[in-house]
Amino acid sequence: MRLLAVVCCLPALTGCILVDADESHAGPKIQKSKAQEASNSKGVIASTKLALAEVKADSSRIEAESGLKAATAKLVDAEFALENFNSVEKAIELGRAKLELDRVAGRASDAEAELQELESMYSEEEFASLTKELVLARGRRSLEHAKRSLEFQTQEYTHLESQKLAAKERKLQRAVEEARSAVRTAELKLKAAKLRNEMDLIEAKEAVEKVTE
Amino acid sequence: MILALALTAFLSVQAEDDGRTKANPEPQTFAQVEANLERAYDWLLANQKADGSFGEGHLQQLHELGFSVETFYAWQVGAHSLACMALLYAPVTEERDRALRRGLDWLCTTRPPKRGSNWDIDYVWGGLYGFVALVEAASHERFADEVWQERLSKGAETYFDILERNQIPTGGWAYYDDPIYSQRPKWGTSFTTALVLPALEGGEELGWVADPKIRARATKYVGRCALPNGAWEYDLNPVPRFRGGEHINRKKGSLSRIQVCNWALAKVGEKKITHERIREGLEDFFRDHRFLDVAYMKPRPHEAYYANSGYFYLFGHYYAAEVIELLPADERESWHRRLRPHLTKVQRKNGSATDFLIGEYNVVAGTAFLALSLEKGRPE
Repeated sequence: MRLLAVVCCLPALTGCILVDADESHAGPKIQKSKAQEASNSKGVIASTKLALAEVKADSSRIEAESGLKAATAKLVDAEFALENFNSVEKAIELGRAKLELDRVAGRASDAEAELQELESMYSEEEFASLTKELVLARGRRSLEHAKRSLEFQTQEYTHLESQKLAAKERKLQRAVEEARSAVRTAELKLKAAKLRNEMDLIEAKEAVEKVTE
Repeated sequence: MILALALTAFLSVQAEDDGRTKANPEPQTFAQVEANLERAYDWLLANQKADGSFGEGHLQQLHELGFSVETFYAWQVGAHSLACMALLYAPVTEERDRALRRGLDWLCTTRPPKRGSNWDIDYVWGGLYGFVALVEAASHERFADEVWQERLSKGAETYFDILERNQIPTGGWAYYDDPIYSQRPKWGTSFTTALVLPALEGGEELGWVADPKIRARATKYVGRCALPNGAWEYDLNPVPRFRGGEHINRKKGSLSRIQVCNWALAKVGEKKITHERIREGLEDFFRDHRFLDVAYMKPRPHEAYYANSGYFYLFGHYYAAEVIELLPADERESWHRRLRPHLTKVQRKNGSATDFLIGEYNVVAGTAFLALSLEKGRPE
């Protein structure tokens, strides 16, 4: 508001100077008037600087406050992510992987049972031995694939349980720590901005007072 | 254009006689349906070709575009065989007798169907029903003379050869092979195997089948498809398939297989198939008949509830009529009375019947099944 008032006055002051620009015609009265005008101009500039300092103070305070808010929100998110992971997600991820492991183990078990049943059915009579061999070869291959799949699934589960989930937890913990640090930094920035603003305003007010003395 | 014509023809047949609207018809006596039976025989006679054959051996409907070229001929041979069986058991008239002899002549002399492709071995259908029809004819007193016995025996060789080469290691027969494709296929089904069991026994009695192990293996195959609740597995698996609440191996998906499997095993002397078990299977059939009604005329295989297909309908009713005949004489008529209306309600005005598609082989086979089924209930 103050800045607006000062800015509005400026054209009028400048107009005066333009009107009286021809110094060759100036008399004593005019000389006195010029000194007055110079004094007025310094006052305006000081007032304007004070207004500018106030605006800058507001701006830097708002910026620092926003930074703190954003950092605080990130910290809340990071803490929530960590807590959610430990209380829900980890159990679900591990549970799903265990279910898939059990399924794969079940398929391997089924493939073994089916092959045994097939071999038992086929062993009853000497008939169609070549065709039987094709079917049995298919059954054996299916069992072998199921067993290999089970090995991979077991490895994956162990890796998930002992490595991947722990790594994910560490990453989330790091994110929380980083967010906490960012909040602390933002708090300090806000504090610094407030101190700097106070100092700038004091200086600007002193300048105004000096001109008006 | 072709698609539009096929669709129009298909819809018109559906609209003509849609038995699904009559799910629980009133029981009928044989006298009430005798005219239906006569119309069926008339249709068969009117549709026999000049060379004695029934049906056509080529693609007639776009629904079946994916099958091998040879398969349509194999289906014709199968349908033709059923038409011969229908005429064999029809009351003898000069015209029917002549038609039957021409039909059997064609069956004995036409070229044997061949394997259609690596996966499509539908030519087994020709082998199955070709063999069944010739055993039935050769066992009938009308064809007891030497000339016919020799002719039928010679003809049966080609069909038996198909059976012998396609019996899977566990003893069954079916109509597709799966990878690794092999000369002797690996997949069998309970109903396909069951339908030929009594004929194999008949073939042994006629001296056409030298190795009794073929039937023993097939009998064992069908027996293994039995499920504890009275249903029959579609195909034999080391561990029975039973996934989901609407699986085909549940009783409601097994209604037609129950009849053919009970009939076949009882015919070859399997003691487990008692009268009580046959009655239970028939009760299942009538109680859950709506699932066959719903599937009737559905153009996509296994489209209906419990994976029932349209073509389960008349096949199942025929073997229901057959299995009824294995019960004590005094209770048969009560079962036939319940069965008849489910047959007559699907008979078209011209006397024919189909339950699936409208190709000639479908209609010939459907009409034959209908006639055979109704004829079984004729009073002695």
